[in-house]
Amino acid sequence: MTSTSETTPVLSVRDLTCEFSTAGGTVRAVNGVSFDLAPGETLGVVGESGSGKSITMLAILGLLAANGRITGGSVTLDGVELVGASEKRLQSVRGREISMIFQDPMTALNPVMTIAAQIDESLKRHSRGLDRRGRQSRIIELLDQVRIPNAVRRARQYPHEFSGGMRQRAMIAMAMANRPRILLADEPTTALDVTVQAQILDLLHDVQVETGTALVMITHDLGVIAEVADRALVMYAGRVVETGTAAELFAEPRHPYTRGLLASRPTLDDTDGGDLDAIPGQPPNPARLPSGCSFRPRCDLAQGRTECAEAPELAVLGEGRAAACHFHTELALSERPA
Amino acid sequence: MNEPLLQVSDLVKHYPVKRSTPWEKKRWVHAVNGVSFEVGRGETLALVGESGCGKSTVGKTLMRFHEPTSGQISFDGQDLAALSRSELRKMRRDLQFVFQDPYASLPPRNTVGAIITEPLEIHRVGTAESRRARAEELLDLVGLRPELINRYPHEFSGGQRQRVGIARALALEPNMLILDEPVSALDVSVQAQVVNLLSRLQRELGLSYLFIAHDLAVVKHIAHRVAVMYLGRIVEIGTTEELFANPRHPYTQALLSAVPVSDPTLRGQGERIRLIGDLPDPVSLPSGCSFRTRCPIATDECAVELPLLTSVPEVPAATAAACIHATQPEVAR
Repeated sequence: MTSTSETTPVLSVRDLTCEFSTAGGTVRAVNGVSFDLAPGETLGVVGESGSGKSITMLAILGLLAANGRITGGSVTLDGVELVGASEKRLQSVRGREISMIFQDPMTALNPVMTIAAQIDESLKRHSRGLDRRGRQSRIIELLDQVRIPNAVRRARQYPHEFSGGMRQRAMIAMAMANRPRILLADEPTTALDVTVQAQILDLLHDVQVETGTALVMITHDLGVIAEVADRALVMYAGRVVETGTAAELFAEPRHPYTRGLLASRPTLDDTDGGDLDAIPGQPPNPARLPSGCSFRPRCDLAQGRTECAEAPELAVLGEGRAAACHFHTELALSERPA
Repeated sequence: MNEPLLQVSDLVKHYPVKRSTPWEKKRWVHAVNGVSFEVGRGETLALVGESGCGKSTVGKTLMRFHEPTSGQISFDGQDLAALSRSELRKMRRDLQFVFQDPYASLPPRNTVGAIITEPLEIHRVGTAESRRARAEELLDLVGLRPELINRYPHEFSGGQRQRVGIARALALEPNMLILDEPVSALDVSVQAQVVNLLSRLQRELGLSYLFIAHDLAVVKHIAHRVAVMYLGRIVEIGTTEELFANPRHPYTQALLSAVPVSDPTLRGQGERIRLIGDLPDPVSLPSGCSFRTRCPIATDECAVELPLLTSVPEVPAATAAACIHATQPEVAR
């Protein structure tokens, strides 16, 4: 579907579905998500709260909360199935083949361990070939790689002695410790100030160029997508509603949600001071999704149309390009200048 | 613009650092270090900067949630610092505050009706009946159905809760709102709705806003003038148009160049200024210019004297920047 023809994907997700049992019944948080990740590429995943973007990534790593499970679909890493794999197998994947970094490094780091000890833990587990000295020099090399100044001294410090930006650098160092093929980054710059965000985005780019790792960047911020992503998925209410290259999505969105997101955000390039074109309503609660197309109640194309009572399939529009809207052709037409 | 509604001059707020032993030297966090600005009637002034720059402390000190260490605040011709508690209460009718987090700032056990009418009760405005009618009117004003008056905050989404917070702030018909990051906790698709609501309320009610925010794109959209703060000081202030088009302070320039591009086709274009290092400790500020430790163009002179906010007499539209190296806008443009 979205397969890149030239290269075999390192990660393939097909029809992934995740459900959570809650007091209010079963909630389907991820609903038939499919995508491929090529080696070394940057895939952006955009969505708002409840879109299922973070749950998808946790499911890939087998890290769903106790009340959640994968109820369908497949996740293959180099062609090997991860859904249903043993915990032991998943442990050997996590931190070695696939690493993850989170929005808030302070909660992801252990406050009572030095930075060096935390990186060492991961090296001990996955890089068995290294002895103590080998690990020590690898730790310093990693801290240098993420541009932490005075790496030798900093390695002996605790997370609380680091600023927010430095903690995120330490997290990236830890994630890259075993040279993973894939880095999943869940809103890694959301908690950071804009000047620090710029530094971290630059750093992720540099690390990626140096190591060739593939990066999945989960974000709610279209600016981050514009800045770093080669391709992107737009998620809404547990589904992928549009895919394409970042350039295609921004230039010619083919799903009304994507178009709405782009139109509603103010940018520094705006010149008129009129009202923003806001999307009405709010993202739906995953426990109470509207029937049919989940975006229907907020959609200006849907109003009164019976087709939207049925959930649209993700229609393939071209190589790696797809949109889940019954009326995506109307958007293509409306984008053309008259 | 005639007489400004709010005039702040040389506002200072220092907090004591908690001592672990009584014989330790008393030290202070220099949160706000001499900030001056004005907000006109019907005007929006945005206070921008990164975390720790003191922008929220300014807002809270203006409300006298915290007592200022020194400085003058004059609101509608009255000196706020000199007001007694009861006078302060009267003043608060005209100056209201909207909090960032619509989840934490609404009492969970009260209905939205009770939340919105509480300021009216405190100020003994009207009867129970008229207050209820006013609450319904306010819900309608902020774009919520009046039937929702008996609902509880948890039944609302983030965007709706922020509307309730705004309705509560408007209950006493204030002249001015201090908005502390009013949209940053909201989903992207909902932010635009609240930004539009704030613009409409300003047009309809003639409100003045002090808009405290870190999102420069939102600020550019909503503010008439912008003040950029760094370590408790305003480093540049001017009209939105001028400040975004011709930033003169190196910090403003760095801040603007760090904003992600709006479109992938613009990637890698435009000058990139990357700041190095971290924010200095606000307990012991650097000598001279506070920004010099991270400034790409700092010289030895910057350590000597605190640069003052200066404007360019030849270019009246130019912003005032507190930098001895501030780039002069071309005089003939």
